[in-house]
Amino acid sequence: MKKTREKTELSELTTGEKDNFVKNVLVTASSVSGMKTALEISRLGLKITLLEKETELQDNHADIVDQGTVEIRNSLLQKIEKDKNINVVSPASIIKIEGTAGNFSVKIKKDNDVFFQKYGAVVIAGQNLTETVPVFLNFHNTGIMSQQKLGRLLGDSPHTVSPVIRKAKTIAFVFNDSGENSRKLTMSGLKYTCLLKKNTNCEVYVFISHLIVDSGGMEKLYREARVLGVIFIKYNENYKIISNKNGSIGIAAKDIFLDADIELFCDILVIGEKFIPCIQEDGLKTGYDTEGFYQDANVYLYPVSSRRRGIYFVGECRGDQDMMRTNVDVLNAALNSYELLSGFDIHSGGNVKVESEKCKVCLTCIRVCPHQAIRLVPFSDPAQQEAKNVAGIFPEACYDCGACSAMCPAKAIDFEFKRAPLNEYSDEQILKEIECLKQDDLPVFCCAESAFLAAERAVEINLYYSPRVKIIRVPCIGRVDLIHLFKAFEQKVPGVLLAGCPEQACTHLEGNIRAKDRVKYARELLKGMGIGEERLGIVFIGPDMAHRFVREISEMLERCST
Amino acid sequence: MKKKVLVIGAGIAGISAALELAKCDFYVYLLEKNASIGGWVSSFTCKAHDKCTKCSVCVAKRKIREVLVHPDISILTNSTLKQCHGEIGHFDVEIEQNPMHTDQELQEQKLAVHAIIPAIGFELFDVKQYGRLGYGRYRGVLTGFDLEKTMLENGNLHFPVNNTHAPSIAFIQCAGSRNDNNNYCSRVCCKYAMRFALLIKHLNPAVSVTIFFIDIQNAGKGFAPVYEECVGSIQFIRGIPVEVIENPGKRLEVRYENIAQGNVKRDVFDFIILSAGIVPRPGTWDLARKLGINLDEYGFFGTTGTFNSNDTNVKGIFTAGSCQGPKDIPDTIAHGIAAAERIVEVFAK
Repeated sequence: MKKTREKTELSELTTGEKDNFVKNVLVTASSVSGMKTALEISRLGLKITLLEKETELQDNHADIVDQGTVEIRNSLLQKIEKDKNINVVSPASIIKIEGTAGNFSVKIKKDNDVFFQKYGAVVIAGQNLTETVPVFLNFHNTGIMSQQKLGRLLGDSPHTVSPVIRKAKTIAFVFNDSGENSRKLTMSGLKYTCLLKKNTNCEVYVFISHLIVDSGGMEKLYREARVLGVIFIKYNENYKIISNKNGSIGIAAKDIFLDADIELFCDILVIGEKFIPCIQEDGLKTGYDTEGFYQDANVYLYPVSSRRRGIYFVGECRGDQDMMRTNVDVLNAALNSYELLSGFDIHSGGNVKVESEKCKVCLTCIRVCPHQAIRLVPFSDPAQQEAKNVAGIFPEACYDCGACSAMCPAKAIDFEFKRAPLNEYSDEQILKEIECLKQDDLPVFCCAESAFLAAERAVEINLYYSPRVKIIRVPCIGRVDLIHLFKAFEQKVPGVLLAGCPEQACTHLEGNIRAKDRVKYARELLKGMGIGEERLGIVFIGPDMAHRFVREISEMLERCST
Repeated sequence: MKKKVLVIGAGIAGISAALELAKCDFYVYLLEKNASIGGWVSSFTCKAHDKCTKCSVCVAKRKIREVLVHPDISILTNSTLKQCHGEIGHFDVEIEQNPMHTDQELQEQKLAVHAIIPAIGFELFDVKQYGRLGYGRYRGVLTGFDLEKTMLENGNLHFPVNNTHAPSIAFIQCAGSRNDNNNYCSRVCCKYAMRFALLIKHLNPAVSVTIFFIDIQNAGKGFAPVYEECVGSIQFIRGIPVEVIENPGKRLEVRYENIAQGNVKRDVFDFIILSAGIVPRPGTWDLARKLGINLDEYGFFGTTGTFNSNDTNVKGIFTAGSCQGPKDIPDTIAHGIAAAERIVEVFAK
């Protein structure tokens, strides 16, 4: 019974959200994945604007994936033409996305016009570029070509194979020049070797250090290639491109199995191109992973979410991936936008409030917010009788991490729960908990998503830790303010410990990094006060790591008591 | 009246699909053969050292906690599917619920559902079939799954104290995958081996870690930095060892081909971790027969068409998770949600 009641309360909370939301979705195309996303969302009954960079809908690299993609693209194009929910705008691109989930105001550039348009959700699909390897430049007019070019020369059937390929007696492949961790290039490369063997009489060699076979059907394809007579040469370290006096091109590498340097001269050398991220549109403010692709490499955002609620990433713009996974992404993005705009996505955030009278408009919170949930809103102060703009938190985009609250120099931002009887994360409550500390206690600020669960698990599996340890739960360790730290030291505790998520796995993206910086700064201040800096600690603990949690706190206790 | 969906298997794929469907105003029956839900993931552990290595176990466990308290998901444990008739929109299914106690009787339940998601997951390859690798014979030879369980329970792997040898551990990849019978890559093993290698190295810096491999599979979002970190601190040896035997000092001797010199080499380790391959569950064939769906050549559930991930040959039945082919946790979650989308798409109005 209790559960049902909670559920109805939650749905009451979101009904307003649902009514205010704009019921259309912006999808960027230039790939099969974008077109498919538009079609899937259309089936869910929403209106879609499909944005295409080029003059007409196309796929940048349908031909390097494999021949089958061209057929898929053509059938998708036909369906899009018939679909009444889809409106294609081309050539156009996104410049900037302002606003929050349900009410994005997107700045679009079309021809020479720039205009704003309202959308409920945005799906960025399959945008990345291919870059041919730099060695190409030094070997002009030789037999080096990219996989994309080979694909075009091979054509669809045995009869369309270009004479350039027919003439060649030996063809060598390097699947991927950049680290060889591309599923897509390995897949297409293997398909091309098989096609060459079937349709021509040439000898095919593949130089590879690690063959990626972890996508569906790749191991089978690898076997097929070997049965057809493709010779795979596994090398150590790196390969070199060489040429002899006759002008023919070759490749030199150290074969692992022969333990010898080998040289192979060939008529055509095919080198897989490099997939590089497309970062022309920088106005998204959604973060990148270490390789520069869209979407932070944070497991809490997988599969398609971004740090801004309502913006989703699909396909190759997230990183290099195979067709199967891209299709899964498409379905995920479609469902997420549907849930958001139909009011099914019950959002529990938005419990942080700004006291408009106190706001000094320093914009710190706007810079700090990882989810872009804070904007300036008009506010008329009854005391001063003048209208000004102050910071306002938009609940539909806020995830309750409290980073803004900890950073606000005017102390104008605090937690204010709509439902919970105990306002656990408010400044008042945290300070009260700190005031209850006794002289020998070790306060441990635990992130509710990781370290707190580890602490709970430690109790569950009967791991002993000292009763002097007092756990204070916070939504994210980025919420822990300098005031909280020094208030604790005021209680004459031996030390203070912060325990949060491991690096790059913060539930709120940057909370742990911010806390780390704050601890560094606080240590400097402590030094000035004559308190040893080892008394303030920070550790990163995953939710399962009860043993590690217990070890870290006992080490901290030891360090502090000496 | 809410539309009803039957999800077979309360592993992480089934749970992801169920949560998503319940969110979209469906009522979900979550069927589980065992007494507890969560499947394999509930025995897995977070593999972060100071940095996250993107194993996604935390996300999966969070979903398990969510599903337990969801009002629109009815969890039927100890239950199996007995019969299934009908077509999309009205499937009639019979559920058999095994008794918790011996004095109770077998319970049968009839349900009418609109769609079905089989998400029964995978089984580990039985590495005892490879007698030469010594699994089941020597105490130090474990599978990756055993290591997960040990690390979850004890927080660390306890190496024997020995003054004469430095402690050492070896991972042997592709035990039961990429061979004649299972001609596919299990997809998860290289990654968890490298994650554990880094974690063990972090917890016990004195331990030397070796990975025996055929090809390192380092593709995947966010994994490239993890691999780079491994290259510096972990020894990679190409080739799969021939045999593992216990030497008189009760340590494990691994015999492998030294490819460069063409001779046999022997190395001694304290622990050997076998990366057991992923194979279809024994019940896959039986369930496929009951539901009338096709299997692929390896015995996983098959899908139709090329640009398609979840649809089976029967309308209204969508596969989710690694019963369709080997998948890691993020891919499994995504695949489960994708199956839910296919159903929402059909019934949402």
